[in-house]
Amino acid sequence: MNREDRPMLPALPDDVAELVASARPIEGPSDDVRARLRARLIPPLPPPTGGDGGAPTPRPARLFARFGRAPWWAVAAAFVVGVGIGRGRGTPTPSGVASSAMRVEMQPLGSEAPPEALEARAPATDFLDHAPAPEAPPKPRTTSAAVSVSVPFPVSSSASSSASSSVSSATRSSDLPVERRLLAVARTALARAASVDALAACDEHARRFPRGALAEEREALAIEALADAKRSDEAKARAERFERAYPKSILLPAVHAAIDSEPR
Amino acid sequence: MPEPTEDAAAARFEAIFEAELPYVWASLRRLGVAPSDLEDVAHELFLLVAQRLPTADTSRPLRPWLFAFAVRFAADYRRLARHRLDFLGDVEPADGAPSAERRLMTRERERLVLLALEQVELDRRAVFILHELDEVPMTEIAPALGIPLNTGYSRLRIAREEFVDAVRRLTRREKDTP
Repeated sequence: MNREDRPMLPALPDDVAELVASARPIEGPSDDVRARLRARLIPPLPPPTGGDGGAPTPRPARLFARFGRAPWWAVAAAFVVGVGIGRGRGTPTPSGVASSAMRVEMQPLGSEAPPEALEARAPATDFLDHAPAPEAPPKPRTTSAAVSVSVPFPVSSSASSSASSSVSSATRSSDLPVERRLLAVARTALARAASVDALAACDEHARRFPRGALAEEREALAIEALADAKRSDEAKARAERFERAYPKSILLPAVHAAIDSEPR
Repeated sequence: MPEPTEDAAAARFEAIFEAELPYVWASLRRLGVAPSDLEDVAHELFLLVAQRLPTADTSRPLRPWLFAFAVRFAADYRRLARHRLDFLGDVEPADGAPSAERRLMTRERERLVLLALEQVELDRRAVFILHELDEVPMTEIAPALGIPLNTGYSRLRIAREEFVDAVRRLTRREKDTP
């Protein structure tokens, strides 16, 4: 029990305090779940593949290679992105999919990844089957530094997106897992300094869900990716639009941090 | 010489994961993440912890720091109303007949606490959990959650009232059930 309570703070009644005390012991996950999580987060060192002359070592330690610029709370906010959203009971996800998705995510991403790489890194392909069919043929994925990320904001009308947004503006709960997975690709890419891949994933999300439930998070991720890619003008312009669209967003500190910490 | 630093950070992360997974797990549960989603949310949380660890202030207590992540992830998770129903879906409705088996008593009390916590708004619940269940002093809670000290006390006071009311309501309902 904490003894630093202020005197005016009424204590819990004895029976409730006892109830609370009984709930203090912590019960963690089962051994199976712990092992699965461990495998997803701390994979064994893969055998050397060689042949790429100086390619980054595919170790989980790559996770620690960046994110040193913004304060932790800002980056935390930036990554509060659709976590768990859409993982409802109506959208069962085979555990195998989740595991394999993470194994893929743990692979290092290079900014020079070939166009196919992003597809290969996507956590799962099953969502493509369940997602609403795009109204236009899928555009070729670009991995150059000039990836298009000019996407409509939910509050701005865009003639080019009006047709598709009419479908996705009323975001269906079944779309949320798809949105979440797309942004998970972006987040993972961003975590590995693969800003081009992150932008491509954001772009894909914007194309399919211009007014999706996670549009706000997508924009915040895209801004951070643009800042990482040293595309400062685009990052700032997009950040301004973000601020106008979401003046009370909890992601604003992260957006500001991304802009402020942009390499000069 | 980035590799030794990265290896050290990876080793530290691994140690934290091994030691604190139960705490993170329990915190997410207390914050309203449904059991069926705990694994995925915990996974995402630890990914972020791994990313933030190299720049974390090691002089600060670890658990409030981890809890702050849990609050943020839980807040995002709970943005869908569906999850609130999922949370209850895991808790069997009271049948009005208190279990006579002692081994079930602990589970029932835990469920009561979780159900009562669910009645407390998330910001206040976070303070309540840290203070009452994790026994973290308010002087550590406030900086961990990024709130002024007085706000922390204010949230705690209201959370206590809400929690007590919820416990009373829930236990009354059980007793009233024929």
